[in-house]
Amino acid sequence: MVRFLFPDLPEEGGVIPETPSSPLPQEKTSSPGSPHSPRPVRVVSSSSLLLPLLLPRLYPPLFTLYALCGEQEEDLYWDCVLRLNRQPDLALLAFLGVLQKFWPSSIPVSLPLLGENQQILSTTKDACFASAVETLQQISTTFTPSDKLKVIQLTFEEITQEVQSLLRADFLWSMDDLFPVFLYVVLRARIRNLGSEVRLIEDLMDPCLQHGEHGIMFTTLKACYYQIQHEKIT
Amino acid sequence: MASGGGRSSSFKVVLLGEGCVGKTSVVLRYCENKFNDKHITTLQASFLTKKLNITGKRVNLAIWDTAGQERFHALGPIYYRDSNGAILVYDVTDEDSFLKVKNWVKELRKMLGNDICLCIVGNKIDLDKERHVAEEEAESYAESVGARHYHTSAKLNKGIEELFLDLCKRMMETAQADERLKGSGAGQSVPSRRGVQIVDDEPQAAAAGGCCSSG
Repeated sequence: MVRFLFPDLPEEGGVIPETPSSPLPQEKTSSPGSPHSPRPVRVVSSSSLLLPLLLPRLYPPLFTLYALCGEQEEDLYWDCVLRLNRQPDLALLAFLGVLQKFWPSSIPVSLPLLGENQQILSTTKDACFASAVETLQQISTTFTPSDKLKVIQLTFEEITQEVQSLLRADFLWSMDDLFPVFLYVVLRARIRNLGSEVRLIEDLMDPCLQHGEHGIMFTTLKACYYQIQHEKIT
Repeated sequence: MASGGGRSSSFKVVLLGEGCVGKTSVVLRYCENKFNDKHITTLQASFLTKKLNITGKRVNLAIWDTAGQERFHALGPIYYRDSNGAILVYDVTDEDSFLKVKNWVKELRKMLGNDICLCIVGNKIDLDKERHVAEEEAESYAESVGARHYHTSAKLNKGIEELFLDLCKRMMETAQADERLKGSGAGQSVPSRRGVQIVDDEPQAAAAGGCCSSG
């Protein structure tokens, strides 16, 4: 981040002098009253106060820098996204190893109608987990890491809701089950510069969130980005 | 990493192991059984938290599940980064799953050194008749790599409480030893060494600047 932000700042003119000094006064005001060790809280408050102000202004050049920096990876990722997205829903779900019980049609596989349904379904594209896919796409329209993390969380919630309405029985996500489903959603969301999104969040998110639920959600998105690059294409 | 601070510490623990060894069942057992504060999170069993009280110290555990499928193996480092502990689960009836654990141990030691507390867990001891991994072998292996070995049965709820309690104590010891090493300067526990904390460089110098332009 330092490496990125500082070379970038001078071009932004007026904003520069503020950055090094402004986090500090803010810390002073926000650190008392926190029962925990002072240091993490400071950082939290300074970034959560500062980033919403700075990022909208810095975002375009900063994001471009991120994109340039990871260009090769991004190209590789995008290649895979395009190729895998040619597959219809069911084929892609199967390819990614998503358990059948999470597939959209709750039609039992043994039904005689299967042939017909399967045909319709097998040609459907972009129909399953559509709302989760749409939600995740909003990640590109947000500026701050915390807003982006919220988008990721909403995406997981959408996925869970969809699956819950599918399987009435109690079910619990384990990562074995959840990861392929989320991977599917990430692929279908076709986010152009996912790598840059990931790096930006990683560099700027509140450190205290790292071990929390947002942390593992973000980590899972990051894992998807790597997985997509290394996914062998059939 | 663990934030010390005397009052409470928080630890991240990753759960590694092949697909059907029951790793998720082990944590589910642990987190739902004793204390009744079952945290229903969005990620459900993929992310569980637990508050503990060990010798008067509050400990927060965050347990991260990982996808055990072979094709996702390469994602390990993304998940175990910054972990204080790892629970490596195998199925005592499945020798292959024990080999996977050995691979994980090698990788973790290589990447994270001795900072991470390793627990090797032989699950499904209720199926002892079909056991394919010898107890002595597993235990001596664990010892040889500086890990602890546990026998559990998520089904019968055996050995799980001990596993986590023990792990917590060891993580606390590691964190304390770490702090002592760093000397008094380590009192200000730094949660991570990422670049964001430009702030830390000159806290006193700029503290005088009264009004910030960020309002």
